[in-house]
Amino acid sequence: MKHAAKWLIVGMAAALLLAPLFAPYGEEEQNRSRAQEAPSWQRVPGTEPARIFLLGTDEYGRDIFSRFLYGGRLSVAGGITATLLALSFGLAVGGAAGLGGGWLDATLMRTSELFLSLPWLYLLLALRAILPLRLSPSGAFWMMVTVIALAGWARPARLIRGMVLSAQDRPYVRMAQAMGAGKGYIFRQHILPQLRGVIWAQALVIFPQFVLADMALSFLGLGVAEPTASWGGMLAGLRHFAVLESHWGRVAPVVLMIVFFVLLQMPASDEPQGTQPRMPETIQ
Amino acid sequence: MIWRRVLQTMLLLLAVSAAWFALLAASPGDYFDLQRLDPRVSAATVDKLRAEYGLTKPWWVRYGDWLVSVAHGEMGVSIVYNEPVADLLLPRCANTLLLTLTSTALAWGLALPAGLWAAVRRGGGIDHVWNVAAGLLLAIPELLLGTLLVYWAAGSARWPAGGMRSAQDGGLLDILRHLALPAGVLAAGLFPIVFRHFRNALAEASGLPFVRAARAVGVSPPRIWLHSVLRVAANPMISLLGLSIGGILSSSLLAEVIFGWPGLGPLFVEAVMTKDTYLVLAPVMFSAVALAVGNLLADLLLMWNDPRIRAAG
Repeated sequence: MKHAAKWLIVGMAAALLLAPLFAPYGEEEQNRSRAQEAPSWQRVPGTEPARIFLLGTDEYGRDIFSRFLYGGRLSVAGGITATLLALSFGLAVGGAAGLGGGWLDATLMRTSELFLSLPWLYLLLALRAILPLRLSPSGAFWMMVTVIALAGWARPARLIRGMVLSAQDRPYVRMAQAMGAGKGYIFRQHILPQLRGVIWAQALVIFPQFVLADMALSFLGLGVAEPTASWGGMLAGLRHFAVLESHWGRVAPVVLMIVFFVLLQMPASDEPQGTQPRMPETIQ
Repeated sequence: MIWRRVLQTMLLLLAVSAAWFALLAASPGDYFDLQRLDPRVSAATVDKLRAEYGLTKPWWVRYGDWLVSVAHGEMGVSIVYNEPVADLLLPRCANTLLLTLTSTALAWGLALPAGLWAAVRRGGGIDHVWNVAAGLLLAIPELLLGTLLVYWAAGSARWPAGGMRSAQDGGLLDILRHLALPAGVLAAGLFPIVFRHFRNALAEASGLPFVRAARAVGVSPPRIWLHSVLRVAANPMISLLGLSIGGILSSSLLAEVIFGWPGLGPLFVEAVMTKDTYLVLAPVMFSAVALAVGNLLADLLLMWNDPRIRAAG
């Protein structure tokens, strides 16, 4: 069951990342004559153009299913990039603080406290506020990745610092030190292998959170803007009056997104019972 | 000990405010850049306005001015609204508190009995049902749940699809009706966290040697649960309560935007969009203060509950 979920999620992420292969229509392709059309799974005779829209079309006649895939590509790619960035930065900072000690440790940890002293969404928006408002689609993508990674590096960094500190106290590490091993060698040979588990666990926690952050920014109008497809933008579009007169295909993407997040949660809930459950940053 | 913590927290908050002030001042563009695009506003007017709002001064001078303004209870002036920031924020804060306090009470009120129930029947069917429900609720983001509910409410005649009160009504019952959906969404997000913490803390505590010993000498189960287990399990819950309190001004941002609740969140988002610097800074500082106070409160409660921590402190 859990195993199946893992493959399902990998498959879904891959399908989203390869959106251009699977999407029946282009991201911004409009069929104005067939706007707001309900999902149909067979060609409607006499309609022009004679096309099938799996989840119907939006108010510009854009295929909702294609936009769901393209939007998902943006969110998943953004989530993966931001996760990689935040974890490498966290690893660099946590490693440096743990190994360096002294003033370096103190400075880095005080800095991380500055980042941790704001609630997650507020930190995200505050970081967003110091960047230019209007950006090109690719500029917006990188802006979001940067903002999210900047907002998210501090917790992994502190965790990794703690691990590095405790790893340095292990007898065999002490032994290696006594035999004259350098800090770089010890980090690579003895400490890094111990960090692998934490980093994986952190990645599992961080990734869904980052995808959500990406969606939230676009939803609030501070991320990727129309006509580029984004999950957050599609959600924002659902708050339009026009939606009330339309069809169930408009809400179907939300249900698919929920499925995506429920699947994402499954590998993370593999942890043995009795350990501290993870805490979403929203309440921190 | 406590005073040291308080002093530390205040210094941290001062550093946070200075850092964000500097960052916001260094960010490219300000509100008047939008004015500059307007052909009806002359360049001289824009320059005069910028000087009037103090934007031509270096940031550390402005930061000093801002601190004085905070001491006067104003927190700077909003450029867009041309009003002291505090006057804009305080009514919004009250609305946010109404929402978060309701949802927090709802989530804790449900999660504590559910957690106890699941822990007492540990490993059984009830435990399993609660765990699956909590896992599902934890996985569904409030952004998606909220959007679905708004969509549904907009089509139904019974539930309001947003806002805090109707134009014609506005009474207590009306506000409660508007409150139900956003508070429910927030509670659905908080419930699984509180539930899991409580259930696991209880499960862990009930396996401790002194609890097993009490059971072995024949102390009645209710007495064991209420007297021994609950007290040990309280510690993580106190930390969690601190976090809950810390998020009291900030945790509802998305729900507020989705449901059009006139709280702190929508105003903050609007301020970010219009580059209204002081109006960005104030909610940021409000949320930071709430977080710090929550942590402090949790530490105090921990000391009160646990003599070991008191002794260490």
